Amino acid sequence: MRYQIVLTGVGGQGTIFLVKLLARCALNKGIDFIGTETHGMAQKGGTVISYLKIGDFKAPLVGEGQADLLLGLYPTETLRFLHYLKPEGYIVTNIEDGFPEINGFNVFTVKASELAVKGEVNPKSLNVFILGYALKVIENFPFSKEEVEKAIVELNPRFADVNIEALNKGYGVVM
Amino acid sequence: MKRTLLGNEAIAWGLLYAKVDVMAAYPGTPSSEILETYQKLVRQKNLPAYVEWSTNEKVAFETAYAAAITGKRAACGMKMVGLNVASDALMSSAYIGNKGGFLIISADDPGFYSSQTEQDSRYFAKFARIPALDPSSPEDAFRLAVIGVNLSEKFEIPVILRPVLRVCHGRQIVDIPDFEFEGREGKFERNIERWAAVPRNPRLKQGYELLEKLQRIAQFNYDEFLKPQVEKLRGGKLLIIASGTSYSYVLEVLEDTGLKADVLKIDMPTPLPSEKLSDLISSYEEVIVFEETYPLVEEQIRHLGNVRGKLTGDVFQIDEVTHDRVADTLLKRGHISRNIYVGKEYEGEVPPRVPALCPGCPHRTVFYGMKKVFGNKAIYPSDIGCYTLGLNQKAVDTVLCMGASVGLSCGFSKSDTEKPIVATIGDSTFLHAGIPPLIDAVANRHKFVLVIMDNSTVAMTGLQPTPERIGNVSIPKIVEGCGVKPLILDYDGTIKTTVEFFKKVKEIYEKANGPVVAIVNEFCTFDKEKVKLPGKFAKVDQDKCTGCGHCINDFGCPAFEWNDEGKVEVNPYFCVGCGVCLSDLCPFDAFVEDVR
Ligand code: SF4
Ligand code: SF4
Repeated sequence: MRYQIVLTGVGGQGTIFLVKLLARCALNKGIDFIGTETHGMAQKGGTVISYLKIGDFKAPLVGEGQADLLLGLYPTETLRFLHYLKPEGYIVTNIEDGFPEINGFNVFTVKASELAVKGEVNPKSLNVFILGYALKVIENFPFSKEEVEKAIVELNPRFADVNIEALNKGYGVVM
Repeated sequence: MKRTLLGNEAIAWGLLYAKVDVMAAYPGTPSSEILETYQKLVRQKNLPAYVEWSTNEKVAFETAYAAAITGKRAACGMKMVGLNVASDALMSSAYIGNKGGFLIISADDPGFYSSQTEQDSRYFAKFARIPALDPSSPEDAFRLAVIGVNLSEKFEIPVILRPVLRVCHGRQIVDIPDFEFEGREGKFERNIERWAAVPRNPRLKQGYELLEKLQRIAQFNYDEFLKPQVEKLRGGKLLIIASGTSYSYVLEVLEDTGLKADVLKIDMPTPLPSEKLSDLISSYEEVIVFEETYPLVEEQIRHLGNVRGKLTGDVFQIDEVTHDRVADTLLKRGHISRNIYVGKEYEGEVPPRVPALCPGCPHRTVFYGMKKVFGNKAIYPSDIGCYTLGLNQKAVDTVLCMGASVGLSCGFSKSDTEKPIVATIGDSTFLHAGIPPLIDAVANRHKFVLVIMDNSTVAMTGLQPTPERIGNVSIPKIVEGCGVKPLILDYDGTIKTTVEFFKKVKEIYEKANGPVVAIVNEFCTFDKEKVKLPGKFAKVDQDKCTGCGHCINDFGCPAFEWNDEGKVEVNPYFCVGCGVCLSDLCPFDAFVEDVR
């Protein structure tokens, strides 16, 4: 099992929570995990990028052209870090109005910010919503929805209901 | 038990595992979570340990060092520029040494992610003639934190642990063995010869002792860290020597490319027993050294064989280590035939996203009001903190180091007497290093305005508490004690009040013949205790917006965006409802409330 994810977004979108969540899934499953995340420069709206490596890895950063999945919480940041993705890798991203045609990758988009502004998705759980969507569309994702749900409960029981709801909403997005 | 830990968390666990019962730190990215975690664990488990956020790194150093003098085990934490501040104490403590273990954790930031310099704390260790440990991963940081404390106690010498950003903010599954924590009773034993050694003879004696200690530590380095590895090396064409995180990248690149080479990990880059490595190094056709950030290891072994690194121009000389940079060296030296670490960039244009103050941050309104009143001609020295980003509003002209807004203003006031000088500094930075230059300004009649933007928190590094919050320290009283009666504004979220306040400040400044201090009581939007956002969201009336750009250029809330018609829009996803832009910003009154 070797799976590399680059997770991008803007400050305040809760990328670190997703890193913790997937690290927890790995721990539960007895798989190794290493990654690195953006802290500090806390300013909301700034570029945020995290690297997650599930399986037998040593170094925290993902090498360019190596990621299996580019998970994007904000469209401009998804495009900005495209070069981390390997050929035929997956892009699963939040978009606003449109998203350019990108060849050579498996692209899945969802208008999550809009749902958040409308109140259909809790804005604080937009991160988990996108993950739910990714779980649905990606083949060979290292963890199942049930495994992620379990980790959500373990990590933050207080907000578990909201997050699991968002995860399932994302999972249920009709393509 | 296995846990998923941030490197900084792993270090905190290491300190407790090594029975460190005193820790002091000053926050600074990427080091801040070390003390935060240590404090959290001490509270959760109700451990007999003392922990504090200190006013600056020198105070943190001295607080922890004193504990180590009394025989307790102690640690202090900081980012590398903080070590500059603590260096006076560091240099001297190296001669004097300690009784209980004393670990100095100085987190480096190769790649300038959130620092004004890249410097390499390992050089401070070499400079002070003390050992440095360079962890390669969060797991390794746990191990070396424990070793560091024990090593320090064994040789009675301060030890520097130097994790880089990718270790501090790396996350990994780390196995923390079960342990019992116990503290120690501190006992200061008078020893004037040692603790109060003066020049020349007592210090000279300590100097000789230090040199002799270093010899023994270099031997320890060989026995503990190097020899077990050297015995297993197979010999051959290529030896890669790697210190810190570089080691992890080298292992991955070798695995990805299938290149066979021997690898020697350096845990303690100084003191290095170079002569002992002589036979080894000369037995390889080529030796490549990877390390962050300066060539410390390379300098010590380059004369021993065909050693390639930063000094020979074969290895990156600045910025952090990546797979790509390691592979690039191996490719150029002919060890691999292709650099596989290339991806496909997006071919279109991605709008740049420059760091900006948060939407709703009071700093933005204060900069706007200040600039409006003092104009373009003024010089705006500033300091280290979120408010450095006032540069987007052209309300920040200089950034040097902690406290320098005040010191530079002293100098500007005498060197360019034509221009008004309006300096900005945050509360924590003021208390850290802004007070001595303010005293200087009073004593020597340096005329400038100092705006203290007080949100009573260290916002930039994640809301660490300040002396105001934990100990009722009063900035207005400090300023008054320095000899200036400050003008005070309680930020009310309107441009109007802010501008009026600065008009008053300007009047007083014009008549002054020394420093004028203005304190603005603000809040950080992340600060749940203090934040005041009225929930007045904004949108732009497209008929009224002329596209003049005033709001974006001079105010610049990140929610403002240009649209295809050349007009401004508010991105509702980013608007936090501070309501500031609704009045006195747009010359055409185009901002209107967006009732949600
Ligand atoms: S973190 Fe706080 S102080 Fe810093 S820019 Fe954001 S709101 Fe302002
Ligand atoms: S109200 Fe205006 S200034 Fe405040 S966050 Fe919204 S757009 Fe920005």
